[in-house]
Amino acid sequence: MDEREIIIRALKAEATAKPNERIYVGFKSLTYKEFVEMLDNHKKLDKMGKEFVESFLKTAVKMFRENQAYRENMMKLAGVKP
Amino acid sequence: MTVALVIRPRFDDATSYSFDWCQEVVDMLKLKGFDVIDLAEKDATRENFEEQVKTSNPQLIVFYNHGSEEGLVAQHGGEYVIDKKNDELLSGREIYTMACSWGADGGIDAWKKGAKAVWCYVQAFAFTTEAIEEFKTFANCGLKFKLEGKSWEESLQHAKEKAKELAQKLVEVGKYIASVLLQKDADALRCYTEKNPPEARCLFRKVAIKLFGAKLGWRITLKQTLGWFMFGVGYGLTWHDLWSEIISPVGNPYRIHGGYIGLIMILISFIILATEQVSQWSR
Repeated sequence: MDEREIIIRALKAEATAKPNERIYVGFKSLTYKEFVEMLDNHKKLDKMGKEFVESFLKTAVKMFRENQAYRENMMKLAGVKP
Repeated sequence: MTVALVIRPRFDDATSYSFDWCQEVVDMLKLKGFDVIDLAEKDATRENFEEQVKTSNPQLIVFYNHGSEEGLVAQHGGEYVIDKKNDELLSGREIYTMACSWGADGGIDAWKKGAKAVWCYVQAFAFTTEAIEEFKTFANCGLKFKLEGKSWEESLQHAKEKAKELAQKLVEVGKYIASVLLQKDADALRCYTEKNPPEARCLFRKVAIKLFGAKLGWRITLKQTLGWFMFGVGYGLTWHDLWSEIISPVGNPYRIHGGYIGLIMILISFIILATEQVSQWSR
C-alpha cells in the first residue's frame, strides 16, 4: 500500500467517525464523507475540483513524510502496521 | 488618523464565518487607532469601494469573502468589488485579503499597478467546521503581526510558522483533514511587496524578470516583447542589406532585398508598440 492509499484510507475512517463536520471550499460546502469520496475519484471532477484534490493530497503526502505524529496516526487509522 | 477600509460581504454559510472572523480584524484595527470604514453586507459593493477609496484615501484595505483569480466578490456574488478594471485604485496602498485564488492573477495585477503590499492566496482557501478557531487564528494572524510592528515579509514568515504550529495542534487532537487543509492554505499564502515580488510561471516572464528586474520584468507585455523583437530583427536586416549594397553594389537586381523586409518589420513593430502605449495610457 503506498502513501496515498494509506492517507485516503485513514481519512475515510476519520470522515466516518465525523458525519456532521463540513468543509467549505469557495462557494462549495461538503461533508467529510463527500470530500473523501472525491479523493478516490478526483479524475472525474471538473478542473478546479481536480486541482484542489491534487493539491490536498500533495500536502497530505508531504505531511506524512515530514511529520512523525501525523504519519503514525494515519497508519494507525488506516490499520497499517508501521 | 490612518484610514482602513474593511469590505466584508455576507450572503452564504462560508461568508457568515469569514464575516465573523473579520470582526476581530475590525476590533484590532480600532484598538490600534485606525479610523475604520466598514463596508459590511449590503454596503460591500464595487460602487461603495470605489467611492470610499476616492473620498477617504485609506492606506489599508481589508477584504474577507469569496474570491477568484479575476477578482474579489461583492455582496450576493453578482459582481467583483475589485478586479483588473479598477485595481489601479490600490496603487500606493496595502491590501490584506482572505479570499480564494485572487493571488494567482488579480493580486499580481494589483501589485504590478503599484499596490504596496498584497496579502493573498494563490489557491482556494478551505476550512472545516471542526477547527473554526484555528482557521480564524490563521486567517487573521498576518495582520496581527503587521500591526505589532513587523514588516509584511516578516508577517508572512510568522504566519506560515503559526500555520505549522496550528496544524500540529490539530494533528495532536485527531483532526487530520483540518490539519492538512490548514497547511494547504498556508502553502497558498503569498504577500507581494517590493522586496517579495510574485514568482513567474511563464518562461518568457522569468527571462524578462532576470534581465530587467521584478518591477520592470512584470510590467512588460507580450505585445511589447513582440514589438521590440520585430524592431531588433528589422533593424539588423536593414543594416545588413545596406552594408552588403556598399561592399558589393553589383548584385542580382531581381533578388529580394533584406532591407525592404527590415523596413516593413520596423514599421509593423512601430505600429504594435504605439498601439500598446496608447492602450496603456487609456487604462
